[in-house]
Amino acid sequence: MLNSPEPAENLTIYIALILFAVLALALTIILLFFVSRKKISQKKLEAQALKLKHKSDLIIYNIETQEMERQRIAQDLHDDIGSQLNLISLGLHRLQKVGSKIEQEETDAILLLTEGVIDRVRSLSHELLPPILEKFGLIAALQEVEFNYNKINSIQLNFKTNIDDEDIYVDLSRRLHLYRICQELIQNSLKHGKAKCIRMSLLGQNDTLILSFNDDGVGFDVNKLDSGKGMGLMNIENRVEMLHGTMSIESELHEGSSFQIRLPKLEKDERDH
Amino acid sequence: MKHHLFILGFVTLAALGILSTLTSLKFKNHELPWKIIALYVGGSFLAQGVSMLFWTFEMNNLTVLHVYSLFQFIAFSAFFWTTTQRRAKRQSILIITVVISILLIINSIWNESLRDFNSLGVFVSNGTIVVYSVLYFFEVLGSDSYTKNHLIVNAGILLFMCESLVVFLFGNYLKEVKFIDQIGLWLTHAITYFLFLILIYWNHVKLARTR
Repeated sequence: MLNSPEPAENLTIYIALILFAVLALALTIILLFFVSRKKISQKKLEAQALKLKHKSDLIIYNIETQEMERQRIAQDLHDDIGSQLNLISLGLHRLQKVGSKIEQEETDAILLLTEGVIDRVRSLSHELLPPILEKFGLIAALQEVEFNYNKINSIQLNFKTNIDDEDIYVDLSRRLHLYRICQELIQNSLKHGKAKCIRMSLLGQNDTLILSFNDDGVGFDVNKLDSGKGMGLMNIENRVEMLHGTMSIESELHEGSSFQIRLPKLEKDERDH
Repeated sequence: MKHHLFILGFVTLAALGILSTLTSLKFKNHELPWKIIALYVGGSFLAQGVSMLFWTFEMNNLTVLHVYSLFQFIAFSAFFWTTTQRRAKRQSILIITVVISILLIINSIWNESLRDFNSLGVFVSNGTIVVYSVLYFFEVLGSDSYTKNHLIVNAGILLFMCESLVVFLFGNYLKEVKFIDQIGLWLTHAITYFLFLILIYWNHVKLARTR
């Protein structure tokens, strides 16, 4: 074709056609690449989101199972072992009055031990499921936490609230989760942060319940959180997620740390339920 | 009309001068692939300058094309060598570059005249670069490496190499055609080359922002 004596115009037209065909091919390759790349990254994101959701579901399931198990153990300790120990204690009291002096002394020792076990069982049962939380609500339970910690001289815990009617914001299951979040935050502050002073507040603002937590501990680098979160913090995050809330963390090394958790107010039907 | 093409040559020279100045700024901070691109732009500026000088004195400047196509082939091969993370591909690029470079030199000395277009040489060297460029896209699709930083310039290389492959392949036939009939092709070549330079600049700005 090229060696044939074709008119010059025809030759340039052929070359132009080849040129545009090649350019169109190159453009198609580029376009295909960018479209495929977008699709691949979308798929990768979807897979990542699915993986995260699965992980989060597993943790939530774990938390729920853990809470149910805690309740069951607390109830068993209180109703079964606790009442049986009380019966033993009553029996021992009766024996104390009828036996010889040596028997009375032995009964005294056993009674002392039994009462010690009763106290331990009670406190274990309360730790697992604080009765105050169920009977008097979250505010009272947190005030009790404040009171208990302030008994230890080296730690100063300050709790304040502006909520009169906590039922607007929390039902029983939410109370328990929020209580556990506070427990976890305090534990983290004391154990990892070596904090001496903790300020905690639970404030109601229109449709939002705000839990603020500040400490004067050693703090941490927030940027490094993504690479390695502890179980405690992951637990808090998952509980916040379960409550459909959001959490923000601010901290710097040697500057303490601060957490703010925002939860939406309960809907009316949720409150009635 | 030839006068207009001559002006276009100087505009290209100016554009290359500006781009080589921009890409050579903070040269030490560039990643190795981008250092190669900066050197390529600088080399192109030099080649265009020499070519325009030959043209001004009405001397045959096609000798410059022979040297330039070898330089361009080595530069782009080095670019793709640095962007790949596969050892086998690196070794292949190295071997292919040495073999084709030797063949290009042999071709220019004994086969295609230095006073004519080196159609065969351009076809082989540009064709190889086109293959590298397409393989680069494939590699990027399956990896999360830093090679993604040079996607824009790779798109430019693919377009420009495909275009110049065709134009220079038929360069010697075009010499027989009246100038008025070939102006459209050379204009397309100029537009593609400017587009390529714009893509280099775009990639350069993108890299500077991420640095």
